[in-house]
Amino acid sequence: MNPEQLRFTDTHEWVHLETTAEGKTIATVGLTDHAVEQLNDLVYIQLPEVGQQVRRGESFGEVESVKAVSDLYSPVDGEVVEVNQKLTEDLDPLSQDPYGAGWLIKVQVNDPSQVEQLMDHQAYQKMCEEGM
Amino acid sequence: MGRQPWRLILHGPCGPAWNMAVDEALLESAAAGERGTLRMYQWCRPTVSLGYFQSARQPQLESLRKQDRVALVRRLTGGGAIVHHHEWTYSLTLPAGHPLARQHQALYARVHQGWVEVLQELGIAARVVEQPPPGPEPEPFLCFLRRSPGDVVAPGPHGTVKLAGSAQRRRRGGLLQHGSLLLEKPAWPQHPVGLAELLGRKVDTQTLLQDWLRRIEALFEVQLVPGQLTAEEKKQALRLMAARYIQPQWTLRRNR
Repeated sequence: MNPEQLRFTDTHEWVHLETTAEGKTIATVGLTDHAVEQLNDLVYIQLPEVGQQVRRGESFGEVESVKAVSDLYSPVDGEVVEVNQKLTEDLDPLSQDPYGAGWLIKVQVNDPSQVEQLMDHQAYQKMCEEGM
Repeated sequence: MGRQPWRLILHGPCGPAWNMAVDEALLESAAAGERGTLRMYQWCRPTVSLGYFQSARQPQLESLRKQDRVALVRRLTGGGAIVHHHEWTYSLTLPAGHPLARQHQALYARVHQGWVEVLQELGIAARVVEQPPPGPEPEPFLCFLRRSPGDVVAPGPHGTVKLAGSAQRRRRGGLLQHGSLLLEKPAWPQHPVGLAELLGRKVDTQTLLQDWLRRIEALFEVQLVPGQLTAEEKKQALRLMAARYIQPQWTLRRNR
């Protein structure tokens, strides 16, 4: 994914929307490179099950790094349709390719306009530079 | 400019589930933007606290629990199991706006520097670990047998021992860091020794605490103002204790 084409939460998740041939809107959700760098030395991740409902702003999983556990927050309301299970065995893709092989979950979105309300890349970069 | 005030809560020995529930309630307050809070507490009975993702399936733990020699609770924070018996436990909660809420390694180092200074004053050559060599795989069950950057260690009779360690939880930008200073070897057969064994005597724990609090004020440039939990925090802690920390589904859940 090109980060410039993504939307961002203030809790450092990124989201990418696509529409399937059946007309469903699917959001791919991941953690930003800034967050991954801040977390440093990831050791364990817990992700939701397929079929689980997630809500915007609520935790959908957790990641542990150097004895620090952080929540992962959903940018949208919807149903989890796919989970990057490979990460539960090997977190390297998340550390090395957070916008690609390190994606976390895919969510069938109820309301795509929720994504429009998120930050674009420029705004997110500015937030990070300001130390948020 | 006066120093920024932090609330200081001094709790005596409390039950395991209550201790963990109070820390989470304080994290909720911090995530909602409340000022920093430092809470000191102890445990009303020897208790093993598991790291958030840690499995409860450990032979020594199962044996001691069968004999009713230790209680068990699961923390909200990461890391290995701690045997809370003879120790000072602290929790520090910071709101999202605090610069150190985003620098987890710096926060470990700053808090632990206070312990290092207190221990050095007692004549112990304590230091903060910068980058430990790779440890055994899988990691030891006990936190005090593991080494992480920021841990406080000192020379012991049979090699280096860990005297203090901490772990963190981040939620909506707020941060909870809690940790332990090992005053004495706990009731766990293979547990490393603590401060009393290194010194060959017990220390006055209240004097040690006051010394550390003074150093925390200096290191963080804050003023610790004695306070209590708010009514809302107490209510939230009671709710969390009932819904989570006394529940076997939470404590014994299977993880890695």
